[in-house]
Amino acid sequence: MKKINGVAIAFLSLFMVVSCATTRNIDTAQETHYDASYDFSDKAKIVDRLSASLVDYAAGSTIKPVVISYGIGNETSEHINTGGISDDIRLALIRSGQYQLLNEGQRYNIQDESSYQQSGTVPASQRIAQGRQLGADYILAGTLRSIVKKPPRSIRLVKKKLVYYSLNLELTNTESGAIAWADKVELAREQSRPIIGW
Amino acid sequence: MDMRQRWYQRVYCSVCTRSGRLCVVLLCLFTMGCSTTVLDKARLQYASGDAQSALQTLGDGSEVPSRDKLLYWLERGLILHEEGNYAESSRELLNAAAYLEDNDFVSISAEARSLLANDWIRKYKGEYSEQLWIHTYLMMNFLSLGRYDSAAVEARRALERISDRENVLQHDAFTRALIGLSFESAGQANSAYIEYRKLADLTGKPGHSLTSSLYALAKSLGFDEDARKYERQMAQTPLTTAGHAEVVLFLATGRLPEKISSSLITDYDERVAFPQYLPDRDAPPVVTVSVDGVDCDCSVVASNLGQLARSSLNSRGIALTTRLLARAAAKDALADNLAKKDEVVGEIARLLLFVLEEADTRGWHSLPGHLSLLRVPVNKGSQEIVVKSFSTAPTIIDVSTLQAGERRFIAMRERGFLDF
Repeated sequence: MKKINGVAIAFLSLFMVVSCATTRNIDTAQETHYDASYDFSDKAKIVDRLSASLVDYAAGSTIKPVVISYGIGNETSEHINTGGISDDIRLALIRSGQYQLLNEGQRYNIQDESSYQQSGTVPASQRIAQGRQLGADYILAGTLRSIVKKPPRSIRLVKKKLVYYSLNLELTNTESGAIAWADKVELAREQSRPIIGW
Repeated sequence: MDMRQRWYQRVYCSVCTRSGRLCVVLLCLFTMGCSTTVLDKARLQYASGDAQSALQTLGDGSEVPSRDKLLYWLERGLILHEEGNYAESSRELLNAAAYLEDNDFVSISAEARSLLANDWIRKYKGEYSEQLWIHTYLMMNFLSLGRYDSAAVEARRALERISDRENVLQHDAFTRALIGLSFESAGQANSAYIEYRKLADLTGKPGHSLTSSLYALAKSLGFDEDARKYERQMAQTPLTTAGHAEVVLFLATGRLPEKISSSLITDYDERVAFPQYLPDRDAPPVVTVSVDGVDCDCSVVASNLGQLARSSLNSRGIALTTRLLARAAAKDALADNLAKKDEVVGEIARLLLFVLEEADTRGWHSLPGHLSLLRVPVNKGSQEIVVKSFSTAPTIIDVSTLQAGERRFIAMRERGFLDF
């Protein structure tokens, strides 16, 4: 009977442990991966490396180049919002103080606001001057790519998957069309999952 | 002896009696039921043309058994697609894709239970072809929504599925054409070129539309020799209209053949049941398209979904047979064991296990029998496209607002005769 009670207690404890829901804060600087797919740690790594490289490129220059970001194309097999990467790189460049960034996303709003002010509703003294916007010296654009590789089919107990990501970023001179700067970040990760589960 | 010990003893004794043993067998078997009432009701409503009621019946899926969750997302995703609600349809189909990824393992508990009953007890994971068509419908949704990058993501996922089961799925010309179109729309010229070349090899005789895409892509990629080859081919089949815009029609016709349970009686009290698809219900679609009354020389790429589903089912024949034999042996052993203790209970169990032997005929019921992709070039100033087929009234598409260089995607479903 004691043995049965012991087993029952062990099962009950197991169920209680399994059913406990917990939440905890994670340090975003700490690398965390649950599987091989793209996650916030990858984004942080990509942004850190590429923005540092871009800041280095402009270091020592007396003029602040005017840059417009045309986003990062997603050529992976995951639905990744690459807008997060370009936003963070843009933020890092602004913080570095070595670039001037144009806000392409607000162009139509600026146009609307400008037209509204010129419509006569706003006093002439308070209207913004037209034709004073900056022209971009460079276009910042890139592509995120992935290659997924699985081992050939065979009898095995775990499924393995190799995922490789690369982000290529380029700074193109708008006057000459020449690529003034380019860099890339590569990440590769292997995932292995058991084929048999409960 | 304390109270708890007396209770244990009472339970043990009742299980040892004939009626107790019978109750345990019955309880085990009936908890393995295979009812999917909500799905069946929704399918009937959809088949009768009442898509809104079907969606309402499916609701939030809380009434659908967890083992049929995939079917809930598939049916809901396709009905929403046909209702033109592409964003919501994509959400449901993405849920289906995520579910498949999370459940990509063999569950020991479900396998053990299915050994005593049937495969209905296992989580439904779809035929290989159905797994691919999740991405096919997602591509159609994203193209219709103008989210070309997302369509290209789904194109890559579809390619992964095809490479997993190449012998069966590589014959799906419609999905291959859609993959190429997704890459082309997303501006990923190199990938589009590769897929269009594979499609040209698959179809044997690429139409003018495919050849002109290959020519344009070869030229943009700097493959001059290839470009010259496609230019020569285009000269042999000139277009009746020099298209400045394009309408791409995704035409779904008929219904997927029914999956039924067939039996093989091995002894007077033993049988094995296996799933199989009935012959195709519908003939391949005969569609004519005209632009402002002039017959269109547009290319058609079509897939027979019934044939692909049948090949998918056949391709897992060895695994299916192994499981059937294992189940027959397990059921026999269980009935023999019970008969040793009590002959009547053993025979009743044998009868129940015989009745319970039922092939898993679950499937994505709302799928069409055929999918065709038509690329219709449209001239500047054209007013309308008329799509005619043998079973329903002509469909008129207004193209007067098409801009130069614009490509419009239109999904159409022609169900013909429904006989649920």
